[in-house]
Amino acid sequence: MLMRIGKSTFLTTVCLLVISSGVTLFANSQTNKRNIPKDAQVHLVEALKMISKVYDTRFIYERTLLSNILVNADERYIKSNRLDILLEDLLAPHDLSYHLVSKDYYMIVKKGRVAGNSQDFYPVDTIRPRATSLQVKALITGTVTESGSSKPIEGAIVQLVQYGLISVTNAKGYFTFNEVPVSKTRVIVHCISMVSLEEEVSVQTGGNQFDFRLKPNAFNLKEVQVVARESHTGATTSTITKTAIEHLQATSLADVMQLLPGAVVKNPDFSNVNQFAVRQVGTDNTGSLGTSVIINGVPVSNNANLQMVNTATSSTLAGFSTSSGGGVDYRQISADNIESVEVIRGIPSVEYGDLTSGAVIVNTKAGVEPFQLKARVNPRITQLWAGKGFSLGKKGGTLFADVDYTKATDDQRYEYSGYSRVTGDLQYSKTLFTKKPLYTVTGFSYGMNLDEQKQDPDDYVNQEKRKAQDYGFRFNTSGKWNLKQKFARMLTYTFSVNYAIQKGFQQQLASGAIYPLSSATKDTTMAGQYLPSQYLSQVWIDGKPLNVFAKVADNFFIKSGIFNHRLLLGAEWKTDVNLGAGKTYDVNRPPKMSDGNASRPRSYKDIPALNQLSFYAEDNITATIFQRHFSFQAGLRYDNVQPNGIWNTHFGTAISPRFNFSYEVFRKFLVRAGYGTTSKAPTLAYLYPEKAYFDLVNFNYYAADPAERLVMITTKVFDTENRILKLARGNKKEVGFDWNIDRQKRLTVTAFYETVKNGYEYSTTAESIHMVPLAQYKALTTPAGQPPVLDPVPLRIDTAIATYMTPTNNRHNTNKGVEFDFEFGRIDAIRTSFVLNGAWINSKSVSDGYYFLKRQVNGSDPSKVAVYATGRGTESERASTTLRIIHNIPQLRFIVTLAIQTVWSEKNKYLGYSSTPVAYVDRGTGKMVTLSAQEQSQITAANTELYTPVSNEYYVTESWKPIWLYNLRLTKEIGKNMGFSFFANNVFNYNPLQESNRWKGQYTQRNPILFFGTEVNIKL
Amino acid sequence: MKQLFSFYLLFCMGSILVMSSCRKGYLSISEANFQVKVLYPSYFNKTGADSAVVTLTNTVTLYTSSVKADTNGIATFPGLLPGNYQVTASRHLTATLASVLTGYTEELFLNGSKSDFLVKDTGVSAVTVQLQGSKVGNLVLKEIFYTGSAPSYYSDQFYEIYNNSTDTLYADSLCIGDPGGSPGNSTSAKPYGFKSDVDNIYLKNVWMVPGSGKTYPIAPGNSIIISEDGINHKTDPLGNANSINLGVGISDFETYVPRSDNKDLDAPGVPNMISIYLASIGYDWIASVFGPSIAIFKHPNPSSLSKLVEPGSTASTQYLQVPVAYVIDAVDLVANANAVSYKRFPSSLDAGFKYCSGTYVQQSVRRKIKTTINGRKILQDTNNSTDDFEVIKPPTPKSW
Repeated sequence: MLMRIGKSTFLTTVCLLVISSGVTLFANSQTNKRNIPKDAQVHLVEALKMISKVYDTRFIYERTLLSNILVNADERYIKSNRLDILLEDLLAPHDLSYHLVSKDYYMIVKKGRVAGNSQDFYPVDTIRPRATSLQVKALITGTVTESGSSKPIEGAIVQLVQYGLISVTNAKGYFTFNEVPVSKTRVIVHCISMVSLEEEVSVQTGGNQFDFRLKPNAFNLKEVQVVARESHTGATTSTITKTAIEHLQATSLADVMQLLPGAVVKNPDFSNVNQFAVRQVGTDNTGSLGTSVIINGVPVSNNANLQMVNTATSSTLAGFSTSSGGGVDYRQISADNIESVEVIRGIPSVEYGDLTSGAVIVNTKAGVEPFQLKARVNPRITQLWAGKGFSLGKKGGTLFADVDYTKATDDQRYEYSGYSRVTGDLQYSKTLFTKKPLYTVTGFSYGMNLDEQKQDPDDYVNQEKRKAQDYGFRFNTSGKWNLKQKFARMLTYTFSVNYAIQKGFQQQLASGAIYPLSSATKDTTMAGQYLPSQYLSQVWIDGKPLNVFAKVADNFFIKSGIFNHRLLLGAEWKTDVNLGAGKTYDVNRPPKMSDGNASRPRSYKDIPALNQLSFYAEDNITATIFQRHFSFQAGLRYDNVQPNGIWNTHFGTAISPRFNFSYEVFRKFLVRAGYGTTSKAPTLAYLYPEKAYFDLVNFNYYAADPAERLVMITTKVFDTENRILKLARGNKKEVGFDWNIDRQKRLTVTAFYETVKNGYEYSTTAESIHMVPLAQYKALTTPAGQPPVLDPVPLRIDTAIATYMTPTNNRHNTNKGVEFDFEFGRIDAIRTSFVLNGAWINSKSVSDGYYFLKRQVNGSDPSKVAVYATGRGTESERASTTLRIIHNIPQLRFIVTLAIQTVWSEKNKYLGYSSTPVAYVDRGTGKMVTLSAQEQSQITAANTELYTPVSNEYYVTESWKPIWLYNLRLTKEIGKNMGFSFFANNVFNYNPLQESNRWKGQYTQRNPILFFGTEVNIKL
Repeated sequence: MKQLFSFYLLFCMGSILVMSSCRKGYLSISEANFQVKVLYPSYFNKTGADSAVVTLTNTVTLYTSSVKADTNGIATFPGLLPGNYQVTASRHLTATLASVLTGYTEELFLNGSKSDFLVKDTGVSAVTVQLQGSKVGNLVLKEIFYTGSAPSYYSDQFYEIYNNSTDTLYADSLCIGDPGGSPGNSTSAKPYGFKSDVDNIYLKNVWMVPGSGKTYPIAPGNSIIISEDGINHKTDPLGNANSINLGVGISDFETYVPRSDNKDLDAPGVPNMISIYLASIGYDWIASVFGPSIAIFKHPNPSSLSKLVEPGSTASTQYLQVPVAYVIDAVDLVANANAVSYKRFPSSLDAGFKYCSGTYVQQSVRRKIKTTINGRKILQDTNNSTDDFEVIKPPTPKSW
């Protein structure tokens, strides 16, 4: 709500007003004509305004000085007299005088006051008469109050997005901006528990007073926000507010993502890691790693997560749940203390780095809010949350504190596995200094996440036990400092330290064969031991990731011609290191391995840190061209991974230009286009893989008498590090339009084409296949009660083929599609609003590397390792829409939403699968030999080394019929202090069996099962 | 209450959606008359297998009905519920009867089957079953121990092959193998993709007894044991105290996997089997502890047999195709009594199937003794393991 000067009651005692006029006029002066009209009495201010119009002059004055002064003046009188005479006539009788500040610019003061000595003006530094700057700069002051009660709101953030300026209201709700360019500008006002306000205001030269009234964000609003809103400017972004999250009854950040266009609803699930990738069908490591999660300005880093068991054989996987090698686990992020989430799907600002696809920006609650308690129960999850924002007195700032407790079971019938989470946050906000205010937020949070499978007492066969524990401590502090310098209008900084104790544990009763084991950790041949056929294998993975993040940015703006430039310059430092004890186990009871591969313990303490240094610069250009909005964002980011100085590097550097453009081609019809490149550093899991160990047996003599047994083992150790690993690079392109059909109806459509090349993954490469000569010995004699005596001359030399996985840049993802969001607005007659969004997304994920397959022949290594063509992968496609019918009765504080999700088509196909190889690695030479087309055609199924049967179904595109899903959500506030919510996913339990067209005769229920839950919340 | 009205409207709309997915009315089920024609093998001088016992099983309800065929070999099943069925037919011929029909005076057990066909309610439908059979009094599987020992020990699996004839037979070049497919321990698994082929069996792993032809004789009433690891599992400290002794003197052969890393145990004193085809192998030949099904056969060049992938499976595993004619004995071992559709051998080889009570229960399946002549036990071999085998605990390698 915006109020112009004169209509509102002022809290400030003094205000400055500049009256200006745009009418061209030439001086029409006549001498001594006077003709003071006797009966035309007007306010002096009005008279000055008339003079301004006629003579194109400006006046500046203390407001109280001129109030209630009546003069006799009319247009004829003004037009017929000279300016100096007019002023003399009008001012002198009231003990006023004027100073000429500059050409046609006058300051009205009490008689005897000296011009320039303007210390009594408030604020003093704003309107100091400086001819050049005064033409283009203005002062904005104002208040933010709560609508209804008119109580001033403290801590509300007023943002001038175009200039990157922010101001935080003081205890009286007062805010101020200095030296703001004179033009139209967009103001965003937001505050905890309030509905954000976004308005375009016209800033005039001199002083401006804007008063904003915020509505409490509650369900008694007619236009309550329960869906994601698409951004108006800049990168394609969906914004999801607190009310939407509350109405959704989200248990973690993962649930929130279902509001995005093209997302499909899943039931809340804590049984596995929840990762997320923007604009992609299905989530993989490349997509989730490339989608950065930024909480309160700090990227949540998964770069030092090493919760994996053996990279050489099983990449970044583990027997317990782990997000190592991929993106952040969203289960760990509670949704209840979130004030808003912005999901940047388009081209993110260069401010955001170490990502390829997009960013999820989470702002948690900070500020004053009444105590709130939420309790949530559904068949899988029990959750309690409590939070309160305190005011710590006039000078003390504010503190928000909250705790969350979540207990989830995968299946209530099975009590041994479950997930529990305890999180606690403290966010302290304080404004320092008054002249050049520094708005600071300092937070500390703690998170405990336990994903455990206890041992089922009935499971004596496997004795399985799994644990993934994560105890995280995060400290962050950030500030926005209004330095008010020309080239440093606002300085922002962020610093954070995140430390976590991650404990992975897997236990299994290793059963099966009695097999040989060596304890050698370097290349050698020595006697080994036989392991029992059955033992309890216990492996611990202790990781202690430490992430440090620091960022400084400078924000200022300049105006050149009609263009406003908001410039952003910043630097960033990231360190990710793991200080954990690593993989430990009893070396005599190792985890069971297959093939010749062996396992050895590994400490994480020797793993170097991952450091990243980045700089960025961005120009946000806005203008009004032909009375239409124009905006252009051009940025450049420089990332140096493992820097050795600023420009030198131990790993790699990337330069990422990014652009976002929009222009209103027709009235209310905005076209948008964006292009940008991105880069993501490898995580420690890809930078510093584990060594590959091989235990190969030279002599295996398992006599009945244990004393007569002997096993000789050759151990081979390979460094699996990929020294030519490159940075993963993303490339994003999009075009779209926003059509504001009327005040309520709005259509947003975006088409995108995005690629990620050099995506990280573990694969077998030509370099990770080694031919190992293996001497076979024979016993010369077999003395009783003693191990056999070996002939030192080998019986023969065999060749074993050692293959392991190494980090590569093989993953190549391509995502293209069209997404749209259509707000129909609210039809008041039926108290219902409609929002339709959806997307068609096609995601292709292939490997750019050859596919190596060692096909065992009768248990032995083959003479040739088959090499299949590059480009193996999958292509998935989905077209889906969700119509949200929102029915709300503000008077009853009641809202019910029916989301009708339609998956119009869903397709999946395999790419690049072939039975015949394009080359092979020869066991004798270890060399890769390319096969000619003719040689390839001669390979038949009889060649079990080179021919891999691929079933016909791999060439069939799976294509599903349309399916509908109905989800119901209901929220009712009982009075102001209590609320009740209910949700039911798949409310009609519509779950038809659909036949696969790839696997004839196989039927699938594609919809999630009927799932419901309820929530009660209390505000005190 | 306009607002409430619109809320109800929303629900009503929803309810209509739900209702519309239900269908009213009842189906009247008609019954079918069904005929099975049973044919003798082609070398018989008669076509219709008179007096053959024909058993029809509904694969969904497991309803079973047995009828004796008439003189033309036709068995009629009146009043059948339409649905999916499978049929097995068997005919026991005494030596006298066999000599009339074939000219050979030898007792014969003939079996035949047809799986997964549809009985419709319209008209009279019929299927034809061709009987096949192997001669009795040859090498037979005497005992198979596959369930393992508590808590989860399976290195003690063994297979005992018995000379049920009156002549000395040679184990040389005798092959043993297990098929792929699920034994039916999980009902979500698909039955074996090769099931419809009644002329061949498809084996995952095949081993062969070494020898030049007459190296490993088996005297009448004697047997050989092929074990996974030829060690004394019970006393070996690295073994399992609940297990059994399969060391030197008991095991005749062990299935040592010739791995390139050489990690499988090699017990001195127990000769190793020759690996013919190992499609799915780790450190050991581990047959399914849920029910592996086992076949023994002799073929002049087993490695030359065709290898095929399982129809309807994504796995690239290829299976060795062994024609039924080369099979000496086969026993279908599945997970439980209801796992009839998970049989992996045609009924001509095994008209029935056998199962144990669980995994790691130390139960083995052992062929019943038909009679004992001069101390030599003659084992029952009707090519129907349901009748011929018994489940025993503990296993009795080389003993009873």
